Amino acid sequence: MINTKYLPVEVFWIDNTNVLLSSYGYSQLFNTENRDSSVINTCENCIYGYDKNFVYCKYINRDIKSKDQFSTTIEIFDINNQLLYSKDIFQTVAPVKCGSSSILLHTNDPNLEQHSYILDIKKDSLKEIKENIKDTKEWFNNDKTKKIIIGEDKRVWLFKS
Amino acid sequence: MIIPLLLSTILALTPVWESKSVHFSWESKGEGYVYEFETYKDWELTNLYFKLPPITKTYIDVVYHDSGKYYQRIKYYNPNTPEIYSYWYLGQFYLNLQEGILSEDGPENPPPIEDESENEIEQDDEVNTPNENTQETLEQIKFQLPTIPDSREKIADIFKKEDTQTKKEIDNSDICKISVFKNEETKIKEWNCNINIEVSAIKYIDWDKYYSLEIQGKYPKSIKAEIQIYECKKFSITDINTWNKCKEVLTDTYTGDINLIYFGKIYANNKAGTLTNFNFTDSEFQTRSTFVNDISKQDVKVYFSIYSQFKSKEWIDLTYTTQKSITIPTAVKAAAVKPFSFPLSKLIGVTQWHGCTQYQCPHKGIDFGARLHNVIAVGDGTVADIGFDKYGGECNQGGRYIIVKHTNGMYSAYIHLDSFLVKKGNSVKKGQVIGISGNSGMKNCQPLGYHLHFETRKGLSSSTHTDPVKYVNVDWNLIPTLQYKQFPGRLTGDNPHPNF
Repeated sequence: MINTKYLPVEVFWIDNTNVLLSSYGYSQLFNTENRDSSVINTCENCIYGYDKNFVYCKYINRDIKSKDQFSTTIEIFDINNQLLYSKDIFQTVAPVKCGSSSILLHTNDPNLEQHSYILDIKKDSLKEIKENIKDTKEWFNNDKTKKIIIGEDKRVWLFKS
Repeated sequence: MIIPLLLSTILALTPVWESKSVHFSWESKGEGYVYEFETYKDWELTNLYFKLPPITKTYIDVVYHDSGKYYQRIKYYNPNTPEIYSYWYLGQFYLNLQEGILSEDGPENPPPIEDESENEIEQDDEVNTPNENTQETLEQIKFQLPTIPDSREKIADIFKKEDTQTKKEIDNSDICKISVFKNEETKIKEWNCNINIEVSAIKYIDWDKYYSLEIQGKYPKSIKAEIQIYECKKFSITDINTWNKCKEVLTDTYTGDINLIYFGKIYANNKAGTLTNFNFTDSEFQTRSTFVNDISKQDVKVYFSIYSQFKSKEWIDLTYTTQKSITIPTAVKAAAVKPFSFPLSKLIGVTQWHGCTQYQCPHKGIDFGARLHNVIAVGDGTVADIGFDKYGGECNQGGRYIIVKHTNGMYSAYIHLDSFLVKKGNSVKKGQVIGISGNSGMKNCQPLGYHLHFETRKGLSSSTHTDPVKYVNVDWNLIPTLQYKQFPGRLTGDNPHPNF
């Protein structure tokens, strides 16, 4: 079992040993061999991600009164809090999976029609995708020897094969 | 039959050696054979320390420049058919250059140095001693050995301390005696420990169509334990019990406190109920299940799965299962003290609770994730208002709504409807279908998702909103928060079960 303060929204395997458990405002690095753990606190509207580099995505949602306004701003920062990228978006969304090359976004208001999008950083483009939100999640490492799941008991478990 | 011998088996006269020459000999394997001498640092002969060039002689002197335990063998083959070869094990010895010790296992069977620790346990390999009588002049072979610090003294100190600590704690009668077998996964061999789980409250409720049983209690957060860890002894060429089978040997003992993590479910006659709520904290628990039939006459137990992890030489994970028998009181009828019924013809989960949520503060009602479902009047009354709400112009609209004034003076509101089945002024009965849920309206200039926004109010105005959980007579444990794992913000607000 991995002791976590919050259940992760997304899990990133850094390599076959180290894993990033990512949730809004709070992320945790966990070494699956020696079980060392480090906590990364971020702002409430921020979520960490990893794709060759550690980055975090910040989102700002706001009320708008016309269709030519933007209800969301997405920003990407590196670990030194340097702003790498920023984009204003019409849809009310939040990052679900943060990365330096792309971000998976999802509608961030349960009242609204639910949509998922990929924000491509290089192309600076937003594209809607079909993403089935699953309640059962598991994350395998690269060589498929380890997986992390959120168990029925709502705890985070690591399994090794 | 050859019997390789060590040159000397007991203490050497010289108190300190810079290096030590050790003589090995073996029987000839036949005309034309060559021999390659190999030294290993582990008894399963997988960690090759060095290998010498092929020789035709049946003896060799090897100079060792560092302390440690060494395992030797020769590989022999005919150079005409080098692909056909065999090995002959020459035995093991322990060398301590600092103290001038060359022996089978050291005079005090010292603990191993550094990485060899695992290999030293239950060492009972037969040692073959090199022939001390060989007198021929031998080629002295020089080689560079890596430096390995002799940490035996330090390890011995640790062992002493651990022994003292263990003895002290064994005297304590509260200590749990556990033994485990560690292989690919760890299995409990013996669990001599009484975990005191106390039940403090039992609620057994008859909901007409089903029964719910909720059990609350306490358990110890941690226990003092002495845990013996057994493993399969590693393959040893001299121990037949390790050949293709597992010889269990004690490899480690852990003494100390271990934290326990619990999870439990209710079973009636060995059949699990439907888990509808639970909360397992460090020292207290609550678990609730529903059953289709009355279980008051059945054999009811809570099965606890107890997990612990601790670090000995390596991390060890333990899972232990125990059970607690429960005597159930007579079922209490679910009191219909709340005036209203559920606003949909079937039970549907929630996407946003009433109150101050992550998305709206205040959120004046509860959003149920209903698509096109029958919306029912939650109580007797009259349709007080009906219409299409455009409170925020083009970008923010409530859509089609019905407001019912009930006979108890309260109001209920049903918003974002697809269609109406009543008109303003109509009398409605509790349970009557009054409309179809939908997604009419707009928010932030975007289309709404299908859902029913349902409010209970003390007056006609939305500012008199109340938490529907307090007025709707339903088992709220059966109404989960939808997709909360992906969107934990949905758990916020006046959620009656904040963990799901």
